[in-house]
Amino acid sequence: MKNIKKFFDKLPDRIVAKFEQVFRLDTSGLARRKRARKFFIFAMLFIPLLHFFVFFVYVNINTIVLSFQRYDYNAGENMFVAFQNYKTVINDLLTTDQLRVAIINSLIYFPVNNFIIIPLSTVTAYFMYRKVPGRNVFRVIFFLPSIISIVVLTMSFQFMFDPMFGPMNDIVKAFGINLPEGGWFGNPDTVMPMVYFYSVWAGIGFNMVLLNGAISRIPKEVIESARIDGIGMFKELTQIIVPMIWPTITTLFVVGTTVIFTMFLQSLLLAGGGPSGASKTVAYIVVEMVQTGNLTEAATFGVIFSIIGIPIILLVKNLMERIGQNVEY
Amino acid sequence: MKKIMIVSLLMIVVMLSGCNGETDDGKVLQIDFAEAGYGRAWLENTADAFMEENPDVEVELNGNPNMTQNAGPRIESGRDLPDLFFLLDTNWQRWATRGYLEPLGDLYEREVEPDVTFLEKMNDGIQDFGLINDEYYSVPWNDGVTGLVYNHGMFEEYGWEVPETVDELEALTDQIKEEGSGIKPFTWPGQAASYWNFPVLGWWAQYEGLEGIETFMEFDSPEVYQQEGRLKALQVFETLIGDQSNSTDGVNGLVHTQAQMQFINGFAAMMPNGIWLETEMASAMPDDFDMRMMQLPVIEGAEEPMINNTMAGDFIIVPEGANEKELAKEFLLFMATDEALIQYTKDTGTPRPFNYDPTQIEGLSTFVDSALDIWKNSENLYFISKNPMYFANNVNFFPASGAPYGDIYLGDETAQSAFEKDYVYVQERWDQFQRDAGLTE
Repeated sequence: MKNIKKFFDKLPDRIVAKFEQVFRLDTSGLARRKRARKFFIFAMLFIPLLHFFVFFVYVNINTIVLSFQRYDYNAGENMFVAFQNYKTVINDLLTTDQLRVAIINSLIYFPVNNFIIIPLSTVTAYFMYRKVPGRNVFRVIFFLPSIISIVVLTMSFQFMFDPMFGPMNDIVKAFGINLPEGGWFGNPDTVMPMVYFYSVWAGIGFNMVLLNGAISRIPKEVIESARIDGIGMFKELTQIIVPMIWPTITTLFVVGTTVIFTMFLQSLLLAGGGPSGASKTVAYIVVEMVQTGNLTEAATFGVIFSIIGIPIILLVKNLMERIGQNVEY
Repeated sequence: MKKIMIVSLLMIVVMLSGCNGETDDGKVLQIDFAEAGYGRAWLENTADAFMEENPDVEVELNGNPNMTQNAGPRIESGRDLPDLFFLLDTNWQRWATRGYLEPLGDLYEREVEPDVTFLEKMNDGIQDFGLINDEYYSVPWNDGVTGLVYNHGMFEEYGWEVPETVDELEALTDQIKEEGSGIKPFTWPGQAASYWNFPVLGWWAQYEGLEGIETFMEFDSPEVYQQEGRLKALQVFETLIGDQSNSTDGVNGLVHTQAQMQFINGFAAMMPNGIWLETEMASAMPDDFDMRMMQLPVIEGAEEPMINNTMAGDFIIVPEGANEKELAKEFLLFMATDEALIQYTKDTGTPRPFNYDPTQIEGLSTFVDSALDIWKNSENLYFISKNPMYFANNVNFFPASGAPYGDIYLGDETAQSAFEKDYVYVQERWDQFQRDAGLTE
């Protein structure tokens, strides 16, 4: 034990000295401090860079390679099949109803996220900022979904609309709306509106926190001078608050666009992708393929939708930056 | 700082030394299992009995409901592997053909009891379950009894007879609606509509016989989708469930727990389900609730009337990179002894697909007894295919939709249209499926 301790006591100095000797480095105090600083920066960047290369660069390159392969059960390995997977996927996209429905369901997330959730979150965040009466109730209603597990949340939501025991049935009945044939999650016409409704309810809280943070950073003098000029709440929100938090709104808008290609958990947990695939999304289909071991076709799907998605997302980002200015204060 | 380094390195050394599957006193058998409807008591009891016979062995159990989904990346990376995986039905063949699984041929040849090998101890219909490319790589975990479960107490109260034929079942649905004061004949989980596979595939097998199903599972050509039994079975479903008044309201959107809650609370008289229902709903089951499994009512023109659709697919594997492969095989051999099999049935209320008589076990519930009687007295139906198109999930029972039950219930499809749609879907893609599965260039 004593020997081990001695060894470790001497090790770093010996290694440093050896290192300096091999590379013939300047051993002055200043040079050593500079080297230590560079080493510190390298050490801090090493893990995120490694993470980026393994989980982004490697995974994406591997996905592209997989999209040109097909698993052969006789050979026990992936075989190169050129563009055969692309041909199959494109043919399925053109001829299979379920895939067409999945694409439409995914695309509708764009307006739901960007034109319903973000405006509602902005208004809610503004009410919180203005400390309107009842704000604590709103805070609970909208923020609770952000801190509860999505599994528990979807289960509660599902039970709220249970065809036999759900309290919401009686409430909506008072407005003349009856339980649809097959149930709220069992009817192809109502299942996706229900999933979007859930997404709005569960999505407001997260955005609200970010927007509330952005609003509270606006200099108080700006708001106060506007109020001295007699500005109303609507004008304050639309002409002062929104322009000043535009960079945050842009970020949320871009993230809200990317989810078109990643949203699946809501459909899975609320409706199991049903009825008859009516609530599937593009990401749901990819997840389904991965779960059944069809990795190569899933990779092809991923590549095709990346090719479609990346320009759309860049375009949206560009447009948002053109619409509003990057305010600094 | 240096002290911290020394302590960290020593901890790493200690942790690594603990990973070789051996303790100071003996061996450690690590078992990772899907902790699903059967709970974990059965495996704890089996492990205790095994350790009693092998005092130098310690069995460590790690259960998780998501084990089946988590197992794939672990098997493929070769890291963090247990000695045995107990997993729910999934495509294990892709791991076997890649060399990730330990071949189990020698286990199948070992004697479980004098002059009875492991293979011979297994039920006839399931002996090829773990076979791929002429080698065994997996062992079936559960056997099953599936079909229609009925509320026996309710049947007694209203004087309803358990139907023996499909015609009687159809007549019973009308009788329930007339006499049942609001009780519906069926509830079922629309979000897991494949629960209807339990009786529907059973009716199909009754009509075609076990040989007909074997022919279908070979997937030699798209013509197998023209089997008349497939249509007849869907037509029975259409008659029963196409009439929406036969099911509880909003049934197509229910998850399985919601449907099961409706059933055990007396809103419906019957539901498609399996032998695991009692264990799965144990905590919610009313004390006086009395349910039974019915022998599947016989379809008109049946070739093989006494069919039990086992839906067996859950399996056990030994990863190629396991530390204690030999010990894992010993454990599997131990699990196939009569004592272990009987204990398994006592703990789970379900049989395993081996030759033993679980109906002799005393103290089981009337529900389990009714299901085990069906298991013992029927031709047990196992869906086993050696065709890679089946592993690759290109072909299955209803490939166009996955399961057409919801569409038939809503009136968007008829039995005939769903039947034809599958045939056309497969016929159009047959060459592609064969190519994808490596059967053609």
